Amino acid sequence: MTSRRTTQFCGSTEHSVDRRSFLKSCAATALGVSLGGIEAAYDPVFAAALREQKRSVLLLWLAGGSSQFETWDPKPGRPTGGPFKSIPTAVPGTHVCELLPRVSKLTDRLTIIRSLSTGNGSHPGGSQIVQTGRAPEANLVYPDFGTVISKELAQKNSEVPDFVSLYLATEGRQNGTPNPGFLGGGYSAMKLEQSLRPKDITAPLGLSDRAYDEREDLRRFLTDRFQRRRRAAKVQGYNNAYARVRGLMKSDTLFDIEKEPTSVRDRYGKTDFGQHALIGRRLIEAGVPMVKVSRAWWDSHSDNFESHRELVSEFDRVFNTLFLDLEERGLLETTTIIILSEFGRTPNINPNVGRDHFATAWSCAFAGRGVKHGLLYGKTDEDGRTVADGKIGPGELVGTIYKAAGIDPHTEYYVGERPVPLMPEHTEAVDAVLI
Amino acid sequence: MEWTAQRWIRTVLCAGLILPCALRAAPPTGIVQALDDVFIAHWQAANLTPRPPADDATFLRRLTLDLLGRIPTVGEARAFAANRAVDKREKLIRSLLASGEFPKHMGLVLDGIMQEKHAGDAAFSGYLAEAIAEDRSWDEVFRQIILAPREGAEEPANRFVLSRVKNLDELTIDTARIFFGVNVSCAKCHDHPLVSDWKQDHFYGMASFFNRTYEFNKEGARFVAEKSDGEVKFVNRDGVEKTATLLFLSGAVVKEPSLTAKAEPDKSPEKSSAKKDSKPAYVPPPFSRRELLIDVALENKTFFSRSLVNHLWAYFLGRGVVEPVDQMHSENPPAVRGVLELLGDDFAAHGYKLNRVIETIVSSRVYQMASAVEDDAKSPNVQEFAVGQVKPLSPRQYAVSLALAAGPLTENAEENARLVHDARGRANTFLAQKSFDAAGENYHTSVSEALYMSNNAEVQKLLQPGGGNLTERLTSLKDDVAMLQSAYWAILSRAPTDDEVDYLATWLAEAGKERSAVVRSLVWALLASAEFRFNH
Repeated sequence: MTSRRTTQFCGSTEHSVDRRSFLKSCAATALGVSLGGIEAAYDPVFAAALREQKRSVLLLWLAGGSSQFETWDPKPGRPTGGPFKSIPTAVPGTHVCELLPRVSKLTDRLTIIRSLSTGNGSHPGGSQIVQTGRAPEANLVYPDFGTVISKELAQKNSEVPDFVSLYLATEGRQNGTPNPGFLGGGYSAMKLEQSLRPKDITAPLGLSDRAYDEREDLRRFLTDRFQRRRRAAKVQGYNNAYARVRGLMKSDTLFDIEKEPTSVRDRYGKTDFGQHALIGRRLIEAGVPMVKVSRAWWDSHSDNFESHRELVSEFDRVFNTLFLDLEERGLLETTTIIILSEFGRTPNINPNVGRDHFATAWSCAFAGRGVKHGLLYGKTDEDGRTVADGKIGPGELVGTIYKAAGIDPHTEYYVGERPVPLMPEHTEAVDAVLI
Repeated sequence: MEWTAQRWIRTVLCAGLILPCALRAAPPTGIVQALDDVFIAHWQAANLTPRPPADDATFLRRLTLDLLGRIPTVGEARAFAANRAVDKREKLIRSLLASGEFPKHMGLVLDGIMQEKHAGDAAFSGYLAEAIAEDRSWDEVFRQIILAPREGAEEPANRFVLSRVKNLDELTIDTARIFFGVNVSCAKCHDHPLVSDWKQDHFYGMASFFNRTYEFNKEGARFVAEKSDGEVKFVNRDGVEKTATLLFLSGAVVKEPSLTAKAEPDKSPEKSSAKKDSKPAYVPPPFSRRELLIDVALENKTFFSRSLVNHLWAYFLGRGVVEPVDQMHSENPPAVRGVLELLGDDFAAHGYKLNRVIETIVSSRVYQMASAVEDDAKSPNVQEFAVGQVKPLSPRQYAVSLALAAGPLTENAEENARLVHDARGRANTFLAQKSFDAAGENYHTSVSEALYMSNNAEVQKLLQPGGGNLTERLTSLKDDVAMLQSAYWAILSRAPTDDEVDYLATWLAEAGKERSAVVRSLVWALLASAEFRFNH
């Protein structure tokens, strides 16, 4: 980071004494004042070491809140358990809900976490705390972990986008869509929300390749000429953005699943989620460092069991296909998969046979690069009302995700003079789930 | 093309002089000289050679973008170039400040500065525009913004408080940051470790001015209301609970007026808003704590006056004299000493007229300085303000400027205003697509903006010849030099240099046969070049 390291903000003397508690209590700050340190062109985070190996993260975002009881943490026979049975899995002693027959055979290659406790049970609040690792501050908007990962794992001059987010449903999109926060609009994800075709990815009609290149060459020449006589960092990064246009246009075909053999498309299934997961696989394969595939809407306040029968069964099929497809292509070596919602669902079954929002004791799962195989981490009490062991808060969750992706969660960004660690102070990544 | 320069100068540059100018005070020459002297002394002491003034074309473009939010029209640019008057910069400043476009643009700028993430409410920017148009005193505007409404009515001035009223921390912190240049957020949990100025007492003292303020809903409308009791309590680091006193940042303790009659018991607003039918009428408190804040802030006026001046400075110069703008405290010295004292005191002494501050800033040597350095030369330090700053255009400035540059032309000075008005209308298409990167400190050109400019159909439409627009006019010019001249004036508001003409003439010769296609490429390259994208 290039920002001046003077002592004018929450910075220094007390830091040596009690820097952590100080920062934690520094509950709000000078947003939007000076972010001198985050221009990509000068960012040491793009250091060679990070570029050596391509790495990716694939987030499957089960928007609205999937039920842990009907997925990773079944409680059959308990008053909170609901009608479904549990089934044994590839890991002796680990059971999952019977709606996951295919996934049950993969658990020897997954990490299942049953002890999330994230403290915010509203859709916006939960989405935010789970994806940023902290509660919101009055005037500092944190980037979500997807944006941070895309920034950290980005390859310079890459011909693919750094972050693609698929969220075609409308329910909950506002909460699920990536937010670069204080990193600024320059780090916005490529969002597929209205259509599976990215915006502005194809050349204007009637413009030949030659003419396209000619005008870009001229634009670059004129900009270089202007730039040579001006030192401002903001101008220096201008041509970098345009330099990526041609490459990104080539990635157009990544979004076209017609390019996949019918047999592959059939394996993923004809549902939207299946097709989106297939696009996700194509993006990962092409080297997109951060992909988010959202499936809405899991918010089962009524008829929880009917809606989960449908949603979990679809998830079982799609995830199984996706996992095996990535595995066959050798991509699990470099890709961390995260299956996450904004919260889980209540142990109590309400009068509408629904389950409500519940952030006290719920589950998520990891696979692929950086995480253990066949691990079951944490547990809830016999009715799933509280975390009985291995509680993981939002900070630990996000820190663990960063670490699995190979990013030091103690990395600090600077908002003006204020250092902001990726993972909140006083938290540590859960090393037990990491390789 | 024949330009009747004198007519343009008369009609366009003085168009605004009709009424508002009659009310305007004399040019603030004394304060401008004093400001220049501060910088001259600073550069001498720092052994820096400041850059010379920017040329006329650059100055016109910079000033028009900053004051009106758009590039100059071809007519304005040519008329200014042709004007031989020695005081033409002063005249230009005064005519732009008097134009009807200035208050509207400045209203949006101030909305952005004050409202930050809440910006965009047309009622509030309209209110601010009105205040600018009437050159109202900003102590009074500040009073309205913090205090509105006095009678429990909906008023556009109340947006600052209304958009933060549900979060006492946000209301407290933002008021201190934006109006007093001080970020007390760190002092919430403990005394500031580095800045001895700020204690926990300051945070909670400031919060006490707002803790009785709440949102009142009446017939679906939201307005700001205030209770007549309630205190702020906090636990300090030693675990001792304290009741906050009304404490301003200067250290001044504010005493509440003593009341003879006991205030009416509080009708808890949360409870009453739950039952919508039988809502009690709003009873204003016997005195307003927010009003006490205004009084003490205007008494200890340096916070208020210097902060506003610093915000304006940051807008016009690209960075504050104190940077970050909300870190005005003893541990964070200004880049140049004496500037905020001089301008802040002048602001307070002349009735808090924002337009006077603006006129002073844009008249100064430091504002009018060239941003270009010699080719590949080492640039003077931007923090010392010894070289002109380069600022990205805001999405609106960029959109309006694109529409104006690529649009039709008029040779009739009387039609200039309509030309600008139409371009502002067309710009809304681009703004609605939200593809331009926001200006500001975290500006970073995004790939999505580059893709948008390169491929989007609306951008391509700008380049389709028709309706007397730029590409149509250029296509009809057979002579390369004349065509390049026209293109540069329309887009970059200046004449091309000889070596630019040489280079581009060669480029044109190699680029292809179809004149219209070549022109479109040329225009696109200029519109998407950094010289157009930035204010420099």
